[in-house]
Amino acid sequence: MNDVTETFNTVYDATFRELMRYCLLKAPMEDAHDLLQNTYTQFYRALQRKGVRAIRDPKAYLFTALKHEIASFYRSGAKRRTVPLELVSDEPDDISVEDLSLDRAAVGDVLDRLKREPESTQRMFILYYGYGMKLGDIAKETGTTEASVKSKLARVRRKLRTSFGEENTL
Amino acid sequence: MKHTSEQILSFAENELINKESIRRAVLSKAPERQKKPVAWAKILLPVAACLVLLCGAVLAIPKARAEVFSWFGVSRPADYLTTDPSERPDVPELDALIASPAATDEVVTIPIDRTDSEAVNSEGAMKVSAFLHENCDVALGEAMFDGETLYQSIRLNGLSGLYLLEPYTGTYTTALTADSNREWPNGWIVYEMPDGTRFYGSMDLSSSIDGYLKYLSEKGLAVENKTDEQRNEIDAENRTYLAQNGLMAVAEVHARDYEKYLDADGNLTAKAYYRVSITEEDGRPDTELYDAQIGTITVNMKAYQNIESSGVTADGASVVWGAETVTISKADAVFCVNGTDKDQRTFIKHRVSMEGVTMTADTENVEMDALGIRKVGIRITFPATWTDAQKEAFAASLEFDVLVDGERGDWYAQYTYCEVQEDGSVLWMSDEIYGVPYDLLKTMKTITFLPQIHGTEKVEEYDSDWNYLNTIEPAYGEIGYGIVGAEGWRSNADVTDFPQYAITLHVN
Repeated sequence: MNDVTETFNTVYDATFRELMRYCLLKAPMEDAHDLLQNTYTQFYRALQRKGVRAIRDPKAYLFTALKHEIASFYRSGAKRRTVPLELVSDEPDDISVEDLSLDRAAVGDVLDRLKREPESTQRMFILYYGYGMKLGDIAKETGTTEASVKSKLARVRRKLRTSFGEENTL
Repeated sequence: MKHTSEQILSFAENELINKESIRRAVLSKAPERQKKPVAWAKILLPVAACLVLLCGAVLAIPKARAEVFSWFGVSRPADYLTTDPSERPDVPELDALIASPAATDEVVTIPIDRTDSEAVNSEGAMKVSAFLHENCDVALGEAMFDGETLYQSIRLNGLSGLYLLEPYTGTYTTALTADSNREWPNGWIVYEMPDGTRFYGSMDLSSSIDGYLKYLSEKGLAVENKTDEQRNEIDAENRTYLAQNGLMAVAEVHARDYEKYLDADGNLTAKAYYRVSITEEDGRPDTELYDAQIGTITVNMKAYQNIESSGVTADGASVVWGAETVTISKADAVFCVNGTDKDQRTFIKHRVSMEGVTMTADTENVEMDALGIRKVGIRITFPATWTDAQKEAFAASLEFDVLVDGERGDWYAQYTYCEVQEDGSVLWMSDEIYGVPYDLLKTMKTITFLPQIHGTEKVEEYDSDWNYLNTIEPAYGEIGYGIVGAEGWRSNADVTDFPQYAITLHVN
């Protein structure tokens, strides 16, 4: 494996999760794959053209490139869904990460079920339970309201609770 | 909880985004194109301060979608498909990729009548279903595979596409859905393989309605919080527009692992379906309203490999700057400060003399062919007095405006990079001069890169609601730091053109 590929793989593994999070915040999930691929392709080409030592801060480079990709995506007139109105949630306000208490086997089932949910719900679920982001931060970054985020999470939890029974508290 | 979070993130990486697929796709992209010897060349006389191009015919095989279409100055293949064939530019190589649907006399009808209240679970779904029952006049259009993406167009005649158009115009005045903020309809094109495997593509109107949206904007109807009167006016405009024009939509059909369905000639044959579903905001599964075959299509998935291009080499002079004094600046960010998810902006500015700075078209990074301007690189070298920080700020402040035959137009350099190199020079590169009309590409004589310096004295920071927070205005040469977590920022850069230091390429 040559220097360029090795460097790319090292940077890729070190940065992917952060870039994925940024993508989930700013763009539809169905486009995240392409946005990330375009971003990392730019980076790889830059390594090939300029050498592995030319990019002094790969993470900064990647974030900049990703932001440009997302900006281009919206400039191209990509369809955007209207942000739904917030709905009154009958769930308590204090939804904490600790509410997610599943055994290892149940998590797999939950995640399989999650794939059937709308894209916006999947994103928020991952941002909240995967990255541990606060409701307010998710709302700000995704251009919606905290109540809307809470509603989506409350509904998916209610659905999953119904599916799997009360013993798997979500 | 840690292991659960990790499982969720791994799930997202593997199942939703597919991290390893991205890695493979990036690493499988070909290295720099292999060039065959020049078959013919036109040698151009060098002119003082001008860069000369040698135009030659060089064969190369495009390896990826972006490469193919950048050669033709078309950045969105969907634009080509949605343009009437009689109005398309004369590009035989692109036409060779286009597949037409098989002729059919069948009339497309709706096999599913979802007005049954037991079959659908929302008033909105019932309304869309009833609407489609009355207004379904669709026809499968052309398709094209560019090496990466499979595009399929569909024509929706009359009011058939009203439910798709409404989200773009910011209104649901037909009240197709009871509460448009809670449920929205989707149009799909589906390819069905002989073994029943289905590939889906979501229909998009972007390529075909730019002009109409501009028209609405000029009428003052593209506003954020519309009144009822405005919504009604838009609805009337939408219906008039559709009655006169219909809609052309294009879907990017995600045909993963399509290779196993190809015949010996590389053709992919599919039954094509038109599908409409309603997505509910409250998380219920999509309600399928309509799913019917609208035709059959055969697309050659290897035709893109036959496209040839030509390249050029460059041999030219340099421009040397005089004693111009400019402000250059660089705004940057420290990501995820102290392990948090907050960023912090940094800003630095310099006041420098440009005397002795030299700009030269990079002979290893200039490519142009008869079908497009694919790649341009300009290298900048500096007197020994310049510091690394000044060079980085210069790289962040430099742009080039593009003139064709001395004129500004809708064209510009895109996919640009400008970075300090290991040898201390700065390399500015553009992967595509986008927007040059195909007809002009064939007749143009010169292309000029006019340097512009974008320098700014300060950066203003804002929160996510655009409330002003702070100004970063350090002294020259010092780094200023912003507030950790500030969401937005603005800087009013002074843009200064320096036409006296332009670099002109002659095409003969």
